Amino acid sequence: MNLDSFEFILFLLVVFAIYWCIPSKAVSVKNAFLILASYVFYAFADWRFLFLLFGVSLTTYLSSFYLDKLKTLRQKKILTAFNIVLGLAVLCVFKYLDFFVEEFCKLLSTGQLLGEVGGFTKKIILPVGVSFYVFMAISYSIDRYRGGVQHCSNPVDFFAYISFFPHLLSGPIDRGRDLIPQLQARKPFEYDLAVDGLRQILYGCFKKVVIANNAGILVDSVWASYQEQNSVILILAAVMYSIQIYADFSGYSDMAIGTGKLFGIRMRQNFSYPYFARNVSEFWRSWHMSLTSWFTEYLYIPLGGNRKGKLRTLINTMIVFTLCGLWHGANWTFILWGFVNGLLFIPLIFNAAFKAKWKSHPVRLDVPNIANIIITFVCITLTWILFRAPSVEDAFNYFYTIATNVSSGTMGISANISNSPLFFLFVCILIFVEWAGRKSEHPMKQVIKLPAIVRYVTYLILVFAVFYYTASSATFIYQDF
Amino acid sequence: MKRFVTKLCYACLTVSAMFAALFALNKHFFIADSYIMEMPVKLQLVKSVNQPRTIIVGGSNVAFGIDSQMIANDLNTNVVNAGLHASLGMKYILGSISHYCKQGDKMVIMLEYDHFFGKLAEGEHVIGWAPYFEDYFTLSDFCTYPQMTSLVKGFVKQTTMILIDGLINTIRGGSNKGDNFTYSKSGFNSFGDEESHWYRESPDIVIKPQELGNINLESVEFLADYVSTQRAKGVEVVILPPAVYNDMIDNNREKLLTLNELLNEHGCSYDAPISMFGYGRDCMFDTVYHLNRKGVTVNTNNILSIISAI
Repeated sequence: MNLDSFEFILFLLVVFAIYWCIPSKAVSVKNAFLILASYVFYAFADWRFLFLLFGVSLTTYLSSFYLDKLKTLRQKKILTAFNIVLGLAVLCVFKYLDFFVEEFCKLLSTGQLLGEVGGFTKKIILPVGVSFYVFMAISYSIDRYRGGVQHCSNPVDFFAYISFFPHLLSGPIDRGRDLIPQLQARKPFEYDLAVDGLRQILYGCFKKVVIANNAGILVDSVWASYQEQNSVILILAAVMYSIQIYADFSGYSDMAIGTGKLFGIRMRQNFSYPYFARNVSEFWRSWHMSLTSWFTEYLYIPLGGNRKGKLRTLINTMIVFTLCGLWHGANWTFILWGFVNGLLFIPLIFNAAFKAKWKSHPVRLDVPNIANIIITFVCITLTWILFRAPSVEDAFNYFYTIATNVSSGTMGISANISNSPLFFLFVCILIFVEWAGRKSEHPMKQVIKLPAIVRYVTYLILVFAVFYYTASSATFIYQDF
Repeated sequence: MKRFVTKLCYACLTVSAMFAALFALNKHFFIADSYIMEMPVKLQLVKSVNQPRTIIVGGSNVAFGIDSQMIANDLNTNVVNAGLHASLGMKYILGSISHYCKQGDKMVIMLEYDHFFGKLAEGEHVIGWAPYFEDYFTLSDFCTYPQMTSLVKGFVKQTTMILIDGLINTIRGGSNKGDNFTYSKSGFNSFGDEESHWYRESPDIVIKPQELGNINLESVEFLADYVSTQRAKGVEVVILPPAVYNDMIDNNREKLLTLNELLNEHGCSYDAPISMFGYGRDCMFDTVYHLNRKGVTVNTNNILSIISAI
């Protein structure tokens, strides 16, 4: 059940109605109902892994419970480490085992072993959302150890946090210290928050259905025969992929966060106009913020962050980004993508003045800003080629074809986009709207300043655009992670 | 909360009212010559054409691939080409004409392979045109949940598309201006054959056969139930493979063999080998299922050779 599906609208209506019919003082009942709804939601995605979701939640909760009963710091460390290792083991088994086995066997040139073991590992299915809820569980365990969050005496509140359906499949990766107090609080219905949530859902749906899905059609058609395409087409497809992945993932995040607002829950912002970043550091502070902050808080800073000299900072950065790439999937393309993103930090690490210069300058429409925005966008777009490619070889072939097919290759794209001029107009409108709304949590927040008639016409245009471009389901890119 | 629910209800009512207005606007101004509006014409033919008659049903492989006049002359029977668009879904395609089929009819079923793989049997957004079919729109034709959701989603999508495309075509001064050829209702003859493409050269394009998805056993079971119901009514049913580009068969050989076996097991086997209805590029028009004039002649002769022998 995708967030942009008809079934989800029906599901949300029912869950919303029942949730707010429960008296606000019956907090545990409300949270118990959220757990039930979330497990039903997850069952639609893949019912086989309900036990895994329950198991991850239960082990994390129990380790949190026993943490207070342990006397020494060493014991607490061991228990926390056990929980972290268990979470990572779940990820390794379901997400990486096949990849590791295949690469290990290739390294040792043992084709027979690959055939025997590989036949088993290839049957392991990736549970939907596992990367997200395991990271949430790990963050809670570490926060408990550090004393950043109290033990949740009522397990219902904790289970509601992990399984909260808006963030269950593709994030944001919310922290327990932010979400659990909200779940425990008696919340009256907040009209303004709910309406803002609806606006955010509509905007997210527009980005996903109109922009991302159609950009994907174009991108897929080019990638299907990239070696025959002209350089201009390949560059256009690379730019469209940058737009696709942003619209897809930020659209999903907007829908998830907007849905959370309908239930009175303020979730973590996940995107902050990343393509208006002036350098790669700004980009990563605005792209998939919940994941970047997770890696910063739980890996980069414990490794020493930037406090141990430039060389150590570089090493830490490379480790974090390479693992961030690996988090995205079991493929060398993701690992290489992460590694290259780490390399992009080198100028900033060894020239701190450059990074500091932009921190105090707001994003504006002037030549230095625009030039740096474009340079950063080009660098990021080139890394997205690694991300999109099915293999490292395909990625390098794509780069090679860009360089060599300048005056050869086909110039036409056969992509079945409904009314492509209208689609490209919507892309331009998106860029304009994002620029105009870059100081807000999401651009639709600016709409409340407009006269009522303009607001309603805007909503209607978005609704009609979504209906016009809606098609049979296309999954969210990040749902595969 | 009351204020929120009230405003949400007003918003839903406003959008519904707008769609009702757009529906009326589309009906009066934009759909007269639309390709899909041939469906009520075909249903009217199935309802009213006298016996003896042969009704050929399927998606656009039937619409584009039959010369009904040839069949009518050869078999000395009335012919109705009830094929239109595969995306209407097998369940709707077969269900909609079953209301009008009666004892003594001969029904030739030539469904696209895609109906038996994935979810096409339930219909896609094209099914959203159904409310525009007026007297021929029967809600009971959409009795499964997937069909109902396809109908609702398809209706909002199609209504929006009809309006926007209609406005753009009006500004351009007509959709078939010059080389900008599109299929339309006026491209059909009195038998229901799409013949406007017969007089055009096949576009010089590469036809890429798609890979079929996972086999849908429920579709096979549906067809088996449908066929046995029609036969019980006294309708003579002939099941033929669809007219398709050869490469499509080559690319999906294993899956089509599996389909063949399943159809045999369920008592609704093809009355001709699959390969008989696979055609080369010289017989194809613009998609894997659309035949050109040469292909129509060859395909019609193949159909005649089977149904006249039965």
